[in-house]
Amino acid sequence: MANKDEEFARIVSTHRNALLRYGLRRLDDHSTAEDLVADTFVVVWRHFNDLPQRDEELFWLYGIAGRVLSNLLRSRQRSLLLEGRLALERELGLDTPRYSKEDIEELMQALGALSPEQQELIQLAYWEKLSYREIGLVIGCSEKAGGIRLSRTRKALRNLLNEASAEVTPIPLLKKEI
Amino acid sequence: MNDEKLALMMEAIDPVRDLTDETLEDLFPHKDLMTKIQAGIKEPAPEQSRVASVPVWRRASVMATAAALAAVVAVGGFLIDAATTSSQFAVLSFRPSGVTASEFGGSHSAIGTTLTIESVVAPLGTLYRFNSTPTFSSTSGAASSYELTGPSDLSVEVQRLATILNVAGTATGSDSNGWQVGTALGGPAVSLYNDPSVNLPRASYIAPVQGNAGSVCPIVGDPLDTNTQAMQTTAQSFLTQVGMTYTLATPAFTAAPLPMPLCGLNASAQQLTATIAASGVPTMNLVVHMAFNENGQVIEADFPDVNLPVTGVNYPLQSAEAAASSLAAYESSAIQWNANWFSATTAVVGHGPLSTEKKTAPSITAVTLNGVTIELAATELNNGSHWLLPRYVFTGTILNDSTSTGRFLDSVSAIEPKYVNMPSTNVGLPDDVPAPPVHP
Repeated sequence: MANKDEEFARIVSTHRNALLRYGLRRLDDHSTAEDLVADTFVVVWRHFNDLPQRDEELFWLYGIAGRVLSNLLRSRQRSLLLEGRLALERELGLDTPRYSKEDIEELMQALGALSPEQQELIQLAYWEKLSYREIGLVIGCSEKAGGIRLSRTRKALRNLLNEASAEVTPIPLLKKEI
Repeated sequence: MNDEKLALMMEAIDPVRDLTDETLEDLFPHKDLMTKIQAGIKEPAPEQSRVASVPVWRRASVMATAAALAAVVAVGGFLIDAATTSSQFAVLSFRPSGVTASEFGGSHSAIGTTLTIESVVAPLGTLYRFNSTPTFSSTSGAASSYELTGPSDLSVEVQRLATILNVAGTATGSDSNGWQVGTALGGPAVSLYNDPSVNLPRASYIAPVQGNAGSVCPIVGDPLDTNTQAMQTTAQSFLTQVGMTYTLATPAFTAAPLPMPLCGLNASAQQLTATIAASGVPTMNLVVHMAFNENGQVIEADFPDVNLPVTGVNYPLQSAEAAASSLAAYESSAIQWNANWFSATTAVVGHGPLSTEKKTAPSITAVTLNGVTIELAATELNNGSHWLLPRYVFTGTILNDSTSTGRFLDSVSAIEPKYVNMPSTNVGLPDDVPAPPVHP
C-alpha cells in the first residue's frame, strides 16, 4: 500500500470533483463549497485509519461532508430557498423553459417542507444519483433501510406536491436576511 | 407528480447540472484546494485546534496584508494570471441575485436599503472565549462607502493608458484574457486584466528595459533607499498621470529581487506596496505595487484601474462593540452568547457543530482582543456593482493555557447589520465522522 501522503493525494484527486459538486449543490457560493471540500478532506486525514475500501470511499466522504455541511448551514431551508431561486433563474432563462415557474416553485416549496434528513435523501438520490445501497453507506444504515427511508421520503414529497397543486402558495424566493 | 417527472425536474434544478470536470478544474485549481487542505491538516487535532488557532487560510482570506498581496503582485506576472483565472468569473452565475441594480443603485441614497453582499469574508469557524476587556477607544466609528467603477471598454482603456505612458502599438487580447499594448519582453508594455480576487480591472505597466534614459536593468543588491518619501511621491504622481483618482495608504518599502525580462534573475529594485485609501481610510484588498530604478523612475507598476468617487455614501455604522460581538454570534447554539461580554472580564461565546447528534461540549479558542481599526473592503454586490464598504478590523492574541500561540485577526462589517444581507459562511469541522461501512 502506498504511504499515507500518496494515498491521501489519490483520494483527493479521485473524489474532489464529486465533493465539489456536492458542495455547490448545497451552498450558495463557490468559496464556501471549496471550504466544505477542504474541511472534509482534513477530517479524512485525521481519520485515515477509518478509511473504507476504495469502492466505498466516496460514500464515506459524502457522510463526512454532510456533517461538515451541517456546521455550515443554519437550516437546509435557507439553502433550498437559494437553490430554488437559482433554479428558477436558470430554467426561466432557457429559450424554451421545460417547466413552468409554478411547477418549480411547487417542487421547491415541497422540498423545503421536508426535514433536513429527508432533503438530503432526495438530493443524494436525484442529484448524486446514489443507489439504495450507496445511500445506506452515506447515512449509515443498511441497503434495505436506505431504500425504505427513501421510499417514505418520496411518498412524503409527492403528498406535499399534491397539496401544493391544490393550493399554491408563493415560495419566498428572496434571500432571507441573516 | 410521478417519479419520472420528479426525477426530471430534480435534474432540471440541479445547480451543477452543466458543470463539467474541466470547468471544475478551472474554478477550483487543484493546488489551491490542496493549500487549504494542507493548512487545515497543519492545525492541531479538532479538540485542540479551536484552542490553538484559527485556520491560516481563513485568516489569510480575511486579511490580505500588503506584504502578502505584494508577493502576489510580484509573481502575478503580466497577463498570465488573468489568463489562468479568467474562467473563474463564470462562477458568478452561481451567485444569488436578491437585489437588483435598480433597487440599490438608483439614487445611491442607500439609507433604508438592504444590500446583499456576494463576496464576504468568511467568519472564523471556531469557538471564542474573550477573556479580557478590549479597548476600542481608537475607533473613530466613521467611514463612508464608495461605489467603484471601472472602464466600460477594456480595450479602449488599455489604449488610453498606453498613450499616456508612451507605449506604442495596438491593443490585443480579449476581455477574458486581458488586453495588452506593447511587449512585456523588454517593454514597454501596458496591460489591463481582471483581478479575480475582487473582480475589478487591474493595470500593469513595464517600462522599456533599454532605450529611454534611466530605464535600465535594476542594480543587483540595491540597499533600501532611505528616501522613501520620494518614491511615494513618484508613485502618487504616476497614478495621477494615468487618471487614477485614489490616493495611497501608508506604503511599505522593500529592496527586493524583481524578475524582469532581459535582466536576468538577479535584478533587484526598490519597491513600494500600498493599499489605496479613500478619504484617508485604507482599503484592505486593493493594492498598488511599483518598482523603481536607481534614478527613482517607475519601471514597473501594477494598480487597480478603478474610479473612486470623491464623496461616498454614509451608511449608519454599528458600534465596534456590536461588531465584535458578531465575531462569535454565528451559530451560537453550543454555548449561549453573552451579549454583555464586552463589559465582562470573562465571557464564553461560541458556535459549534449544529448536529443534533453531537452532545459534547465544544472546544474553545481563547482570544484576547486588543485593538480595532476601520478599513474599507472592495466588495462585489449581487447586482454586480463594486463598493468599498467599511469593516472593523480586530486584532488580538490567541491564547492556549496562558501561552500566546498566535495573532488573532478578523474583520466584521461596520455597517449596521440591517443594511447588509450577508450569506452565512460559518465553517466548523465536525469532531465525529461517520462509521465506516460494516460488511456482513
